[in-house]
Amino acid sequence: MSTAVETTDGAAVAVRAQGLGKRYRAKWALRECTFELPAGRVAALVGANGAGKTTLMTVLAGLLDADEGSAGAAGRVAFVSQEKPVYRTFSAADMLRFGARLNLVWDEARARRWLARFEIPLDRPCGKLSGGQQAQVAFALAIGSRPDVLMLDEPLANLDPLARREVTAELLSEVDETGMTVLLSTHVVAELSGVADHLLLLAHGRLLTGGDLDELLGRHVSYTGPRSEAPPALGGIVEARHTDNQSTFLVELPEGQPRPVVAGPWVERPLTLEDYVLAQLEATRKGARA
Amino acid sequence: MTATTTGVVPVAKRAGVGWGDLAWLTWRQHRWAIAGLVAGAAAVVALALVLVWRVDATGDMQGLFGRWRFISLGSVVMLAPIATGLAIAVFWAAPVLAREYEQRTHLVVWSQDITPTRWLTGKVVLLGVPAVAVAVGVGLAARALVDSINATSDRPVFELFAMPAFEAVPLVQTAYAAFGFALGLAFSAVTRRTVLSMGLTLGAFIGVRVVVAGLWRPNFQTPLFKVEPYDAYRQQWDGPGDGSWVVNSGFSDAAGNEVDYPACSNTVDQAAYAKCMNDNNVLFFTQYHPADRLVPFQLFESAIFLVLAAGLLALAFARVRRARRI
Amino acid sequence: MEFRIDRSSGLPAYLQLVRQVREALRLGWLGPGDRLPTVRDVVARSGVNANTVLKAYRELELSGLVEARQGSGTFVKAGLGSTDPEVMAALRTRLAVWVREAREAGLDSEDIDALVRSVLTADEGGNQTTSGEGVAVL
Repeated sequence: MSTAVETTDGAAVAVRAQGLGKRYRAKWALRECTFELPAGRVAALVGANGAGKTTLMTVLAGLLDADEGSAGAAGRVAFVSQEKPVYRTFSAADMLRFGARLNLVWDEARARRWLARFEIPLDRPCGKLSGGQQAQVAFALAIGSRPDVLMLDEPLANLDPLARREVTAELLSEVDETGMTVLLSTHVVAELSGVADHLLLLAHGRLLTGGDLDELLGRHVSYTGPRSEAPPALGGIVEARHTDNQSTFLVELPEGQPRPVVAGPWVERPLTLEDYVLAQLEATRKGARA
Repeated sequence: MTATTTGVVPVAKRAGVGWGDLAWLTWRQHRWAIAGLVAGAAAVVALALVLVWRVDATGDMQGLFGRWRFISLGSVVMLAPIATGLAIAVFWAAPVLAREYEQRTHLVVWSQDITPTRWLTGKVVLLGVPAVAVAVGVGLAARALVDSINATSDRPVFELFAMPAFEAVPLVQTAYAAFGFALGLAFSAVTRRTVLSMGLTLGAFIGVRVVVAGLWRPNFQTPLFKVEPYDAYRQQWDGPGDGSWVVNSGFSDAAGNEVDYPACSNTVDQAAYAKCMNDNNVLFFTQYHPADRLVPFQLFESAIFLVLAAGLLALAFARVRRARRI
Repeated sequence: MEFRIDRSSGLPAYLQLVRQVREALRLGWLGPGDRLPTVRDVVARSGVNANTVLKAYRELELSGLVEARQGSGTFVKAGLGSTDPEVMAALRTRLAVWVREAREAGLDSEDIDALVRSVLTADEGGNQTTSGEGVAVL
């Protein structure tokens, strides 16, 4: 479905959320969620199970009403939910016909190429296909509709390891060819490196951090050294771990300043995405964040 | 940067999703339900026409009812106006939204370039209009048979105020079909479960019909009241025969107050019985609706069901338009 | 050439690509005039985001190793590993002496490795802060 096109000064914004909140009865599933996703990015929405990823995505896709705030996407949005649903009595060919008839833009060749790539039979009812094959039909439908923004909820769940790699590569090829913006949610952080270039980190319905992935990782350093109360460089301490004679700090360096040099007994390590995400989530669990 | 190299089939672009597209989708999803009900209705209409032709030709309705021990051709036709709205409610409307929610396909279809409201409007029009058409067809066929059969006798065989003659008119059929459709859709939207929604629709449809036909219809208007001696009443033992509808009758005094059954039960014959009644000043009262109230009653009952239908439809649309959960 | 992303490495994916190109240049798999795979090829074969590949190629271009030719692709401009063999040999000899000293001091291979690494890290950090100001040290 399409929502109003919005643009801001500077880079084009593909998805925007402003103070988004969503409540199920008394419990807030999403709260004070504000971010802008620049166009052309592949953004990863990361969080533990139950962090509100699906809620956020369905609100952004216009399938769920928010209780607070507003959300908008520039252009046409396609959403593939976690279950990768398809009509069981429809064949894959029927699903493509469905896509052609219910979309303003339809790229039959692209959709068919996807199905051919994953060897999905066109004439068998989707109900008789395996879960993985059904997922490919759902992907083909989304790809064929040539969205400006593609939202995928846990796209790789229930796929075998080989298919995960192939789907990732195919998806990124499509992104490269069509220039669409992708927002994909996952709780498997390890697979994101090189795939996503933008991160939205969600915990307990709140957005912990968001921004360019390389920039975020570049701003954070892990220091290991002798036991100490303070890290060797100034900055916000995201995580501090101590053993009897050793301390490890994850430090968020102040913005706009050159990277500090540490010497002496301290060892500086670049941060993996997984380290970073886990440290952030750990911090919210301990309630350490101010 | 976005130059496509796909070649053979060009990327199709257009201004909007049309009715043809929605019709394709509706037919593709519901073809068995549609075909089943339309075939059934067509069979009933054909049967009714054959029976009308036979009754008109022979002027005789003998053998139409009770020719077979359990079910007769005539009762099939007479049952149809009662069953059509119910079938539409349970088999056409109740699964529409529920099945989408159950199989999560609502997330698929509403993620295409179509809003939930537009999609639902499509379903309501493309299933609802044929549903009404089927009901009207069945109503007309049953009406024709009722008229033919009633014409064979100087007193109506089918009382016009009672089931099935009252229902067997296009307007009332339209109202039942619309109500049934909206009821099924509303349960579909609220429960999100196919079987549950079908069951609740079945129960609620029958419940509302029974309440309206059995309890409310006799009181659409205050019945007329007449008091007459037992003898006069006895002349029309089988009912007034003028098409009016007796809703209550009993023993009363001259002022019309209901009295207990008089102690005349041990009289030897009818004449003695009548005399005994007269001697005790016991009269007979009748509450009835005259025949000319038939059409107003049908209009009123149709209005009730159409108003209910509108409310239920609004509920279904509100549920779909503002999704509180996915 | 084919790129491989080590998803468990702390190194950003684009830097991994840069490193792999430099490695290929150093080892002679790639030489001046050779064409790097197109962004689309890398995306399709390695499952890497196109933005990541573009970023890596831009980095290589900025460092003068490759050049993008309008419409025909990205080509290697200069080779790597062109250090004078005599200089290399001299460096190696001095390092060997140093390693012997370290062993005599009781360090094993792992200790030496850690030491070299920490010096390299400190040195890289120093190189990055070319301005030399606003440096926070313990």
